Amino acid sequence: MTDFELETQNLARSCHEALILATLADGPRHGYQLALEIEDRSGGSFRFNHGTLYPILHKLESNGIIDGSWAEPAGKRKRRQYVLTGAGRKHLKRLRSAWSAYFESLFNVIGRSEP
Amino acid sequence: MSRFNLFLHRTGERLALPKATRSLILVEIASDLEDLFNHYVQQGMTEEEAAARAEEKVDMSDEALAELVRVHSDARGWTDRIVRRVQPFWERFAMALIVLFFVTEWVIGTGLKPFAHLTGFIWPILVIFIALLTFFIVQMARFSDHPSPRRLRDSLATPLFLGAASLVVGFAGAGIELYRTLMNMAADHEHAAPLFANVVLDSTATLSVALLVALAAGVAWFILAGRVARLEDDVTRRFLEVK
Repeated sequence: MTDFELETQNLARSCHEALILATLADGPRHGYQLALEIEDRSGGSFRFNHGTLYPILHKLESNGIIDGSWAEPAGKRKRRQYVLTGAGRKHLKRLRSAWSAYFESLFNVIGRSEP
Repeated sequence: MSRFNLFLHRTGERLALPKATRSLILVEIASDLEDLFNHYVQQGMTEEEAAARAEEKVDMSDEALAELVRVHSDARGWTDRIVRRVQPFWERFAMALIVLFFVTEWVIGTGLKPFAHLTGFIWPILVIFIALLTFFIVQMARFSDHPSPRRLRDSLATPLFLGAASLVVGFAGAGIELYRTLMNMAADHEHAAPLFANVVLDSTATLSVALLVALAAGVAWFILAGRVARLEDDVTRRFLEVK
């Protein structure tokens, strides 16, 4: 057991948070970059609709897990960029641990697939 | 951005948020739409296909929009509504009159006698008032220094906290004084009536000062919140200006 347990009813949300935070752990990203990178890195298993992305990003930002700022490179469009905060790194660590424990428990019940 | 104007307009209409907040969200969506559009064009789609695909990808369900509104309404929705709704001059004037009426009523109605009947709990209330005054002066001075609206907004909870603290000290003090006096009354039945009259007088005097400090805290919050809201609107307007 970990000190942070996943709520079964909020698995989808928790999964989305973990995916976003893990991607941001590699460096700052824009919203569209996050969606495309998650889709790419998961081999298409996690297709993120941006409509789902904004509420999660803004909620994480209001909780201090990530920090959003506007970047405006010379001659280019304004873009909102997100970066993981210190609290976000701790939260990601807890999420990783919780998801590992969750899958371990799940496999204990349903068993692993035959090689 | 004109390619997605209709889409953004429709999305904006569904976002029940203050104008400044809504505009910033729409700029973010517009930026992602353009990036996605370019991405799909690079993948070989025609411009029409890429635009349609980008809109489909960014389209927000009613649930997602409601969630977004909830996120931005949680902490400051009601305060924004109060501050932004009381912007016209005559409304602010009416509010100032109400506050003035209460203060005048307090001063004339009591003849400033409460200051002669105070309990020891007046000291923490006085400290709270000094802290409130210092905070207000410092914050007002910061407005002339091109401050970050976000930092100013984060500090808006301070006057509310000080106002609440004043009330807590006032009510808790009255309760403690009353308890002490009741103990004395139980031990000295002969002087019970004057003891009770004195504690009621002293406690209500202290409590009325605490209420006045809380009122001052409310006014300080209202003035600062209004200025922060105007500053945010200015920043957003400048930010959204097309260069």
